[in-house]
Amino acid sequence: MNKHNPVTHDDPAPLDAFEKEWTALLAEREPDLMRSEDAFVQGVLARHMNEQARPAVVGRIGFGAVSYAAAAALLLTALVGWYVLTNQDQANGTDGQTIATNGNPAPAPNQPDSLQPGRDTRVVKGEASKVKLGALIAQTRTTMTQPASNLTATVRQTPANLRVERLIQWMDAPVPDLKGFLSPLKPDNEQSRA
Amino acid sequence: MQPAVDKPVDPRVTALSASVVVIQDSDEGQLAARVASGDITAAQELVRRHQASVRGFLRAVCYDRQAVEDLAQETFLRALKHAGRFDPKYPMRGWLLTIARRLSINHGDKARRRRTEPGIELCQLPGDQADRPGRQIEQEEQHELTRLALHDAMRQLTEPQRVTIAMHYQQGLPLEQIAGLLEMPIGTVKSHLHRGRQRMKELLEPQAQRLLP
Repeated sequence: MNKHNPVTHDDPAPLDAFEKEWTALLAEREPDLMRSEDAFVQGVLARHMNEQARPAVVGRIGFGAVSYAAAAALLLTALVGWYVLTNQDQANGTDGQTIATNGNPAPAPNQPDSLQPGRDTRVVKGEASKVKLGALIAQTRTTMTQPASNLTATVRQTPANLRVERLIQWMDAPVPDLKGFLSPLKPDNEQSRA
Repeated sequence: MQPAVDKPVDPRVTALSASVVVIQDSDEGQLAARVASGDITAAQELVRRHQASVRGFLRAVCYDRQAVEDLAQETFLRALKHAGRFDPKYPMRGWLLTIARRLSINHGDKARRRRTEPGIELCQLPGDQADRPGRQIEQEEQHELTRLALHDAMRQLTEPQRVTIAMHYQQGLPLEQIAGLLEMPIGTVKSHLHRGRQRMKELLEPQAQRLLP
């Protein structure tokens, strides 16, 4: 059963004398607001025109978004710079010489147009090692991906060809008779006594 | 006594409120259109026409009095920026007050955390006191003290009570229009108004002898 609620259904009760006093005061325009009217209007318009003068992209996507994008770009640049510098440090030798700087060796301070003597050799050695390593990796990959039946006999017998295997075979072999071989090596004094 | 809990907005009530508050004001519509097209003179006219209402409203409803001017500026900046969205079927003042209220709510939590002595700036009287007779200065001081007490009491109401009282008794908006602006049933608006008035009476009456002449 719905009860009639005068608070929510009826119009608000008329204001009494006291309420008329304070509501009138509330509705009254405050003197300081009237005095500062021109300054307020000019302040709003100045800010409005400043916002309109911003580049279109800033106005469209918002100043905050542009700030975030700029900060992200700056952070990315810093990260890339840090990565490059770190790699450059690692490429320095223990003696302080630059071995290779991303394939473009920097000239020495005192020899701006030429490379340091030892560095060329090291770069060449490094490149050769890279080539060897690449070939080895390629060979391993080929071997690993093929079924055993497809492998050549040489590859299948790889353990027998290893030097370690040969060493073991050599160690297991019977020791040869060295008496006859060693006799000519008797010391001179024994030979003289004899 | 706790205020009535707001029920979900009934679309029929909102539609009814909207139909009641429709006001054909082609002048405001044209003004908004000119602002949207970048007319600075129109923007100036819009701000000048409504600045007193918005600033007065914010003084009544905003918890942090120090921030009132900033919030009022921000209200107009948003209105000028989005003038193209203004619907001329509704009064511009209501639209501006809604923007101001949202800004005030957003600002309110922060202000409550760093609660300052309210209304200090209102204690400062106009600078040209020397030109006026002593009796007039006394009356103005009394008037300012009363206004200070009034705003302090307003600050002790709940936000919906403050807003409904300010919109109805300060801005003179009809209840149906307030319901539309606040997106709440008219019964809830009446309830907030009723409880707000009761609370104001409780807060102000003990000081009535001292404050009111």
